[in-house]
Amino acid sequence: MSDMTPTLLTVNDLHTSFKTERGPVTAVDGISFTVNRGETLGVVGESGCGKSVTADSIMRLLDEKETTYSGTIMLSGRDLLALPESKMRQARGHELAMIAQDSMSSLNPVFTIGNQLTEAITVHRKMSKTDARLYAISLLERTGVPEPEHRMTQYPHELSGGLRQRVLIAMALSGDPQLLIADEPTTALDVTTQAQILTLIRDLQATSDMGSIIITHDLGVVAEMCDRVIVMYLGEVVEESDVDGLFDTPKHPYTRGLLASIPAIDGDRSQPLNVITGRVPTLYDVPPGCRFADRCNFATDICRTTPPPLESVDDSTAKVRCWNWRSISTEDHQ
Amino acid sequence: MSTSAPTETSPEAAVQESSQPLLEVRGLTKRFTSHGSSGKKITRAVDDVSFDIMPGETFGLVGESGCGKSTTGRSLLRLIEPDSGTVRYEGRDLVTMPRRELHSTRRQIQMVFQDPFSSLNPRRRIGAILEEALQIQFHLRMSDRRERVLKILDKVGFSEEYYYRFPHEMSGGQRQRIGVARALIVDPKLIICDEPVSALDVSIQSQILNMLDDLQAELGLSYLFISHDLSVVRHISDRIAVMKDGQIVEQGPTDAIFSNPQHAYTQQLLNAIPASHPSIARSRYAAASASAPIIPQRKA
Amino acid sequence: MPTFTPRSALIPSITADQRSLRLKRIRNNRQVMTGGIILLVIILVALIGPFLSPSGPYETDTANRLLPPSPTNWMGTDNFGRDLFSRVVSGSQVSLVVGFSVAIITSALGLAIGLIAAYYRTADRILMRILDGFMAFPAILLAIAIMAALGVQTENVIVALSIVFTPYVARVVRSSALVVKEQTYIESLRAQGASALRILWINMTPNVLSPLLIQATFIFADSIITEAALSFLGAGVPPPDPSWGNILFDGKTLIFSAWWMTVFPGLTIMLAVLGINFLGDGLRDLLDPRHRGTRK
Repeated sequence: MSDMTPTLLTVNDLHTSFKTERGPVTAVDGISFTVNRGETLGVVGESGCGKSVTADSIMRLLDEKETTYSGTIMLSGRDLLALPESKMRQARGHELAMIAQDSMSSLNPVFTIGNQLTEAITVHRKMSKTDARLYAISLLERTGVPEPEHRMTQYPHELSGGLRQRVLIAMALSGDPQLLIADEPTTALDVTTQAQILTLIRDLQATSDMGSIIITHDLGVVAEMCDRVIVMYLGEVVEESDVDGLFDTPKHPYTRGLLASIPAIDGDRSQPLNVITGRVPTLYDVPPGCRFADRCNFATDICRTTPPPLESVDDSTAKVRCWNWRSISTEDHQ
Repeated sequence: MSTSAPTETSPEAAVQESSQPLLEVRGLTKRFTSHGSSGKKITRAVDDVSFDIMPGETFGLVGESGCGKSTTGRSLLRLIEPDSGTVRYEGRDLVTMPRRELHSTRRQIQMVFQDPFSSLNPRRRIGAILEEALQIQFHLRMSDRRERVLKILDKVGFSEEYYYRFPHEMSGGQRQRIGVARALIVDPKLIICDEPVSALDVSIQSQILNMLDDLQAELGLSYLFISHDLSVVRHISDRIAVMKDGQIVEQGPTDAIFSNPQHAYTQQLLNAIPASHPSIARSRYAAASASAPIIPQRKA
Repeated sequence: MPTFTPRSALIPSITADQRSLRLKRIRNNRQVMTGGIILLVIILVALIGPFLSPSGPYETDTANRLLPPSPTNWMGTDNFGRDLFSRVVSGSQVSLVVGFSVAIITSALGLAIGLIAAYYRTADRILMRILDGFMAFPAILLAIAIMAALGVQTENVIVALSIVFTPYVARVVRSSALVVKEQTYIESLRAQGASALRILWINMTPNVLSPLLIQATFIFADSIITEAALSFLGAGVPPPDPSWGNILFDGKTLIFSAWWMTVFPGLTIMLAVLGINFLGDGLRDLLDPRHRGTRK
């Protein structure tokens, strides 16, 4: 029933604004991107960049009394933003699934894992209770949960953070989604558990043509998981690239700064870290011109007055939002 | 309560005493009893931990959640009372020290906390919070206190107006800098940093880490740097201890640990660090799938 | 001698912004405005009323007993011929003073007890047992018992009600303080070597003030009602001093014949308590963390 074009999700010129006491605030200001089947898109940015709001907008989880959307979000030929809430509810969990960061608060503490899993299953499929239970156990096996039958009878607090995250992934998969959105899926986990969960997600992707969006601030997770990446800053996309291109030749000064400021595991310890000076402006004080200009080492006059457009890089699919990216890149080669 | 004004520690003085450890921890142990559904359980949160911190050095304590690193840090200051062991600061054992003497020693060992959002009293201005740190330890005139606060604000990069600001008017990174200022203002020799950058954005982390480095060089401070982030610990620490389940499984100079880890757990930790480049990730993943098959998909 | 720049010069824009935002929020909160206005009116009447009424609350005039409301006696006269309006106004002074005093005393005591219980675990067990014991008695019964022990006087009403209501305030302060105690800044103070007094009074108290204030407004309202009940039962403000409850007591047997003796004090009690409750509800909305997420 799903059309077999490679493009799964197309977000086009999405704007999301909230009503606040101090006036309307636009958290996502005109972003566009696509996700193809079987592909993982990384959305990278720091606090305030709008990445979580983007995920919430795709899933339409925001309070619609206080939120205004504009633009289109096409999934399998339908504009998600134009759907009535009843249809959106059907789509959630079935065509679209989301895993949030805090696994403890995503699970109801007073119900068993089995209870919550079978509930998630029967919402989207007509199944008898016994069948649903068996399917739930198979999902737990698929996500690498040891002793799945026993886990079905346990409560969320009896499981470790890593196991809970696996349960959430199982719940997300139960509706057989075409698109999986993972919002900081491993941020709350230890590094060894994180490695296991990332491997799990990679394995699952390898065996299905599900598309996924991984939202993270951790460039290491991006390197491990993603095929393509968009970098967000203060509500805008500032760079879009395939993952190798992003790490080899980052174009936007913010991306370059981010990559440079992480203490590399094999870097020179005696040198101070590269720093992006200043801080992210608040959404109430969006600067005129380029939003990154006052923290940018390469800013010129035009950067401070006129916002740069998102332009394609030569013949590739990469894009960058910077007036000076070409001269910055040429500097590197000198 | 000391009545004299605080003095600056010079890096030279720190180096002169460099042969003697500033802090000697031996056999530190802390047990917690929990009464769960499966009966009484005794957990050794800190299990026979021993290490030294030399003057002017940064000692990293690294491990995953629940390994006991935070409890160790807190036990040094007796925020949590250890069950056994000794913590010798400049030769005197903190664990058995009477409360009065502990108070003046506390001035010399300060702590920076992880959560920038709850580490500052939301109802008090920055100036008041910093002055309070002085009031607890010293008897200074109001104008002297204020002068010292303004000096320390300047040192961590804030203008005079921040004296009057409230914490909620500041970002996480700024608040963490105030946390460092609060630790510095009483002129300590050792600062225990408990995950000081873990809650901050990456671009702010580097600002704070550089600031800590600069302050150490200028003032001759020692740090106990507690963190779960191996890349950060590697960058800032001279020597490192790796903790698991309350015990130190390996310790040594940073370069040695990272280039030649001896203990299996240390190796496991280092292997788990996400790749720094997608090509590294791909080759590791390919090697792993070759040796272990992908989880087979069951038919629904 | 270094000079220090004052706050207003350094951050004028921020303080002005915050002030106008705060005022706007208060003005937009209908409950606070309504409750506040009602309370203000009652206080004004309590202060000015004695000058408006033709006769005092104690002047009896047996020839003019039980007169219905008229232009000379706005609320009529009671069974002794006293002008009811004067008595109600005078009674409002009593109610307001009692209510306010009880609110202040219970706040002070409740704050101290709640903080100590939250901070010291052994004290907590003992204190909470005692407080639970007090709270097991219905407020009015306990108040009557205390009045019987102390003697029926207006001052003792304040004492009795303070004893009765302090446990509720202590409870509220304690739960709030328990949360505050876990905050990192408290741990930091302990690490710095701060004394318990500094932690409890200078640092924790400002953070438990919001729930305390809200509770205090409800105690204010509760005191008015309980005082009226006590006086109605003869265990409160002793006659001939007027109190809303007293007047109700006098009019007890005359509900149908002299309805004004019941209706007017009753209405004023209702109005006062309603106003205070609105104020408290509105305050609770204002003071609660305002940063609600926008998620469904």
